[in-house]
Amino acid sequence: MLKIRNILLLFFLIVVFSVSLKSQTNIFPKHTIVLDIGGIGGYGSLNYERNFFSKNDFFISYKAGFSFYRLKDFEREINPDLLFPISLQYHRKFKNHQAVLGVGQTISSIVKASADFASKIRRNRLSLSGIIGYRYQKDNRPFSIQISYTPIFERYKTFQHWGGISFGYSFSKKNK
Amino acid sequence: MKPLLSITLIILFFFSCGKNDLDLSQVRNLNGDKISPFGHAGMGISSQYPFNSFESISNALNLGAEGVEIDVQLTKDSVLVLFHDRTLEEQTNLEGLIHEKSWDEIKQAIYKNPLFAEYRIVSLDQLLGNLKNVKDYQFLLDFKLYQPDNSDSYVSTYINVVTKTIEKHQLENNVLPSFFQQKYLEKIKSVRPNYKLVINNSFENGMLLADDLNAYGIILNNDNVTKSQIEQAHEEGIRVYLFGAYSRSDNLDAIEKYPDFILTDKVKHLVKVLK
Repeated sequence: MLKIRNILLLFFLIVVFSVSLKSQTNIFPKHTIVLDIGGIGGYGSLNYERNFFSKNDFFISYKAGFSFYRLKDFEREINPDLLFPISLQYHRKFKNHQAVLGVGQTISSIVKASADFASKIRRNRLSLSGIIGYRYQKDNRPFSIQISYTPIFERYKTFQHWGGISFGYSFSKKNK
Repeated sequence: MKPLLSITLIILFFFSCGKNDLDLSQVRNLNGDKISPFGHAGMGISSQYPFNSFESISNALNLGAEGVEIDVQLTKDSVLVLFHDRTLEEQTNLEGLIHEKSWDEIKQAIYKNPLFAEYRIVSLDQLLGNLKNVKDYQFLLDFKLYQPDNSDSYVSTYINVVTKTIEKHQLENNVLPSFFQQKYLEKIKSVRPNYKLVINNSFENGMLLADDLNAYGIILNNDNVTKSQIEQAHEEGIRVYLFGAYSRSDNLDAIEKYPDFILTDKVKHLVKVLK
């Protein structure tokens, strides 16, 4: 655990305090549709990402998505489990490469048996995620790919390693 | 022209994947010449529910399985709980072994897989008491014995809990107890000779034990058993439960051996094929 914490800290320091490429002109995507496989939306999710602040070599975005990974419940009735991942991300740009740091919150709505197993209930809960990723996107190209480490703090009680890969399509570029 | 050809080939590929040449009218066994689909620990180990959970088992039965195989262990305070692994830390936020913990401790366990975090470990009593139409199904109980104490008194206590739980729900005809250890099989046979015992052992040892104990059936691994061995079991009046069907191709392979029951991870597929 200590080792992981050290790696995260090192990554954070490199991303936030790096000044190696300052003052270059950058082009940041403004809107991006992102398909996550894994990641903070569980098995996968479809998301909208909005770049709402950019300066020099970095931009900050929020991302909100939707996912369901089961349409029918355990009694085979249509009753989907729903997930709504939201996140705030800091992107540090190095030419076509981006280091991504962020924090996420997933709202889950799951159908399960009640505590005494006598009935079926829908339970809503929150889980916190960290995001450390690498994104590749060429300037003036809409497509991007990102790999991320997204550890989950389930119900703020248990820690679980998790990860994902994201495919993005950006539109309405914003020139900085 | 090229896209049309590609689409045609893709459609043909998908149709050929779904096709099989099974002739179920040729099935000969001790289960009325039909093969019954059973869920493996519910929906299996790669399911979107934790295996042996109430939700997983209920889902398998509602998909059309005629029964389920379930892994069972006994807690320190003599409650039978549904859990496969030797230690709790393999799947949950707790540590240690089931027989070292009380039921009050175990029912607080949270699965480590974030997608399973809402589900709970269930006791056998809770399962049998709350499943809908429970008497329509069969339950093959695979008792996992990780405790070091196998003294006569412990075995008696264990078997006493098993029989009490089954009889509380009047499911003597629906529950099939299965043990690897001979001592437990002999004990349950001595106190409840009418129970349908299923032997969990290698083919050779299992056949000997099944003969000695007049067992109902034997559990065998699909990878290690031949069709002729299954025929031999049938000739001796022993039903065969085949496990190791983790994929669709495993299902098809298992069917061709004409067992009586198949314990599968791909419940939906097996139910569909056997219909």
